[in-house]
Amino acid sequence: MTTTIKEQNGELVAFFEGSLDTAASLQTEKDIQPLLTADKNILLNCEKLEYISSSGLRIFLQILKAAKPRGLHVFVTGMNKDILKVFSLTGFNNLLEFRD
Amino acid sequence: MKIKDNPINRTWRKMQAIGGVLVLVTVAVLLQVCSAVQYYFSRDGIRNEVRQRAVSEMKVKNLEILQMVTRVETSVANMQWELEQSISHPDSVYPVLRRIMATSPDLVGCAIAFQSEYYPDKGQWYEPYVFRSGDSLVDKQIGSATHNYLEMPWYTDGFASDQGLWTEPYIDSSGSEGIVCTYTFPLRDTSGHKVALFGADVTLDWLSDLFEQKKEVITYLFSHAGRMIVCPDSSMAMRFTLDETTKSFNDSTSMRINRDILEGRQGYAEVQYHGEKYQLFYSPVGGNTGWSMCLVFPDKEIYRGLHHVSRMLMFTMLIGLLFLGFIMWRTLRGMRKLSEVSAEKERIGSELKIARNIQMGMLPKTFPPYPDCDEVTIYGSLVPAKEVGGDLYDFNVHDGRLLFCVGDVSGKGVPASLMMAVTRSLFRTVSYQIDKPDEIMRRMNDAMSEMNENSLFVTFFIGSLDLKTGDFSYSNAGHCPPVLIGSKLSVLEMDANIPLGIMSGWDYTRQETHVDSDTIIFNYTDGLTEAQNSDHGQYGEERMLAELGKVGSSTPLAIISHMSEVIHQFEAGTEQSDDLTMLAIKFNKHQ
Repeated sequence: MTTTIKEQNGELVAFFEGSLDTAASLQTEKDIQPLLTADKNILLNCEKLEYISSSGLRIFLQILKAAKPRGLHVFVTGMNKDILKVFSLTGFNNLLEFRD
Repeated sequence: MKIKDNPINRTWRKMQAIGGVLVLVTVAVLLQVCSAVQYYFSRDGIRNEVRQRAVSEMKVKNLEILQMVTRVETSVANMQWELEQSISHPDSVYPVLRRIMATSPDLVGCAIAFQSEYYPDKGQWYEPYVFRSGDSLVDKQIGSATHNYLEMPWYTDGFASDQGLWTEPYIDSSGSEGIVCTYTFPLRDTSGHKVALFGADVTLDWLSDLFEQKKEVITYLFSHAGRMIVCPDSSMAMRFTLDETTKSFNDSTSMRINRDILEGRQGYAEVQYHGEKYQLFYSPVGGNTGWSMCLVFPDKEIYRGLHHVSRMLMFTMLIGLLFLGFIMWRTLRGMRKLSEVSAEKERIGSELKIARNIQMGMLPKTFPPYPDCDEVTIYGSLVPAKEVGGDLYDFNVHDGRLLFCVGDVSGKGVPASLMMAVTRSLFRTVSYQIDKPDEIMRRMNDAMSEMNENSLFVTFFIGSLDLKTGDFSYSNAGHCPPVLIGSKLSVLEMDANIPLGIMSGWDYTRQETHVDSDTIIFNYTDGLTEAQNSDHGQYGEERMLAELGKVGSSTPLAIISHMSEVIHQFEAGTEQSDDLTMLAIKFNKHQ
């Protein structure tokens, strides 16, 4: 599991690659720290994300909770079918803004 | 309790440190003893070697001197008859002396010293002398009032003796300033009376080459009278005597050495001189010169190599000891840390065990829970991945309804387990007052969202089953949908509601359906579908549904036992990655 953060078109884009399971979530939680203090909108690129566990969802929630009070938007893009299913089952699709 | 301040621990550490020091001291003592033994035997060996060397060197020097002495003695002895014939006339003496000089290259000169007025016309002193000057021989009469040989000891002693004698060495005043020694014997006239003394002068300068001075061995040659012929400081030769040299040894042995040397004895002594030790070997020189030689070996030089090796050895041992000490220090520190860490681990482990017991105590664990209630059979199982987990289930029956829940806190371990405890307590409290699943959800979510600092959330399912009719209403907060196992398999329809604890005020929806008699409501957490095998492959929903289809609507206990077994096999060789919870409820409608 690797997480890369880049600045693109005035947004902070986080690229997730691999399987964001419980074991990987500790490292990922460290990797996304810059997003928690961001002053730009955030895009979570999930094109190469294969799987997400509830610990992974918690990380998405952390990003969201940090962004909301600053009036920033958190977008997600490129989710595969399985992950979309997890998001819709857990209602997380109601919290995040999807972008094609 | 802090481990570090534990007095037993401190004693243990002190003992370890003392043990370490003891080992170091023992090793140091052992090494020291070894090197002392080695030193002692090496020293002994070196001393023997020095003794042998002294003996053999003295033998060689003695032979050389003896050779010269014999050469001179025999060559002049051969001429004695001719000499005694020549003295009948004063002028026939010189040719004989010249012949002696020509045949004996060892000689620097030779002379005949006649008795007073032996030749009346030659006066009181007549001493014809032939000596070398460069390549030629020079004749000279050296007897005179100023060179009154008649009163010199060499003359009187030599004349008195009946055989050849070597004089005391002396410094040649006639020219070379070298050390000279004279071999004398008396000459007789035809009537057999002693009338003159023949003397052959031999230079002793070559002795200083024979007695080469080295750092490790200093050599002396003493005359019969104890005068130094050869000594380290050549300016002192012939000027100092044995007495003057040995009296500076602050040792009682000096008297013995003196006597031994003067009396021509062989011997060995160890003396101290200016705080340094010396090994002294002495031996008389053969022939009738009356000389004695003495070899002096300074301890400092003899044992220089040994001391160097010893110093190197000490240095190496010191380095070795330091290294050993360092390794021991590191090892002890490592052990100490390890024991501290393992003690800490043990403590946490035992606390976790207690926490686990508390947690398990919060779950219903008596099955069947309602033996008198025919309408429903329940079996539940929770296996945490770590000591404590974040899964939960609960149920209660009141007013003819079974209210149950299954939940999963995001994450694992202690934080999740605390959140689980909070969730279960909230469910019990709220579900006693309210029986509508969606309303319970709302209340719980609002309470949990307010206090959730760590973004932990709980996927939660609440079901409410009417035990008379089989009407089933439920609300789901992001949890995996239960499976209904009846005549056929179906997965409960789910609205997308967010998990508990994320956002207060969320309006959870309620859904309703009907459950037929003999149907099992199979609830589970994602520990089941996301169980991993050794290839990191997930068990998945499809496999689960297929397996549930095979078991069919048997009993809750049978289903859960079977699924546990299946998952256990699937996970073979790996560690359980997530908490695994199953709750099966079978509805038996009263006919």
